[in-house]
Amino acid sequence: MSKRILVVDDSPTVRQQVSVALCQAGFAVVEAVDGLDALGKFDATIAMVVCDVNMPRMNGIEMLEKLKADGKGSTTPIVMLTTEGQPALIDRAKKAGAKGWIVKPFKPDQLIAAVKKLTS
Amino acid sequence: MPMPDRIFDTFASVRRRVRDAISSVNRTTESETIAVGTRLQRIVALGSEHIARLKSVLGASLGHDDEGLVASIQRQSRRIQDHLQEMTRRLQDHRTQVGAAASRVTDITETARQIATLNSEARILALNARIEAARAGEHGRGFAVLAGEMNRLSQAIAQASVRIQGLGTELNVALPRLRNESEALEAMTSTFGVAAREDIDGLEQQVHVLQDEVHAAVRESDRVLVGILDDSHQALSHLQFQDVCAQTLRVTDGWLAEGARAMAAELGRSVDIEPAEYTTIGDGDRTSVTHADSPPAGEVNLF
Repeated sequence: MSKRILVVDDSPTVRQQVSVALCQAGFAVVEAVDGLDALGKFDATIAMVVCDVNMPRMNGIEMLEKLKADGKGSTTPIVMLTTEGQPALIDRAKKAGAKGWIVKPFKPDQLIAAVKKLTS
Repeated sequence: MPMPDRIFDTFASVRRRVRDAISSVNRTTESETIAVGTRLQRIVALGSEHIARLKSVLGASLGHDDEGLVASIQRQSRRIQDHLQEMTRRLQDHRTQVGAAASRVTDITETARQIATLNSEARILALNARIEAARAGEHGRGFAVLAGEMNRLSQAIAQASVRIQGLGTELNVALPRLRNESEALEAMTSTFGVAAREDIDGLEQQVHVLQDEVHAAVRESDRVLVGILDDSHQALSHLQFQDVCAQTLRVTDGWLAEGARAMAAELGRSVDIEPAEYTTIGDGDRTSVTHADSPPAGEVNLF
């Protein structure tokens, strides 16, 4: 059975591009349009989360902190995929429990390699 | 209306039109990019499906196990060879037995000839017996009857002997012919065996060539599939320009809103600025993401 990856991004084009790359690599993708939507779709079957930072309603860092605080996603690897690159923001994500940071535009091969590594 | 107010109104009007234009451009590029992405996904899916089917068909043409087909041909080849060898062995036996039979027929013919010779002596003896019986007169009458019977028996033996010699002669003609036929059949079997071996060798070689071609075609299919995936990944990378452009236009919209807000504050006027679309946590500036110590775009940083 394919591992399920939760892809969180308000941009439909980014969601589609990440989904296409991951599906081609054999993963199953669940999409969420923002942090709040992602909290509703997160469950124990999710093997990993790929999440944008700047989004409407709830941003990616808030979602990360909430998931880790609730204990629901305490063991699920979460990688941020964003155009942001400030070191302070990266540190905050790291402290909140993120497993990685990728600055857009992403390279599909490298994203797939990272997802494979973190879900193996 | 004082000039600053007119400038403010003009700016607000321009800002609204720019905002509408940004929304329109973003909507259009977004839908077009998604359409391209969908097509791309379909191309990859169709390519993968086609190549999988091609590999399946190529595999089926040689059976599920290529080596199994060659082994099967070799098994059948061995069986044909075994049958041909058995046939040759039996033909050789047949030829030997025909030779032995011919020899026995010669013996029988010779024996029949000897019987004929003895029989002719017996006839002379019977003739002499009749003569002696005639001389003996009345006393020799019974002996004359016996001599007559001996003569009749001798004639019957002579006829049988002639018949046996005739049959022997016929057999002496037929058996060499049968031996020749047997030899010809043996030679034909041997020739057929060599030809069959050559044909089977050729068939095996053709199967090996076909196997090599199928393996090459499968390798080529895999190479094409890898190429399709690589190209699709490249295309996906390029398609990300849309999101970067959309974010840049939204930031530009934010700058204009900020200008309108500042101008409204100076003039003591209100401005209808829409609520922010984003709960921006960073600087939100998609046009200047590269900080001196920020990771480069595309790089994966795992903690």
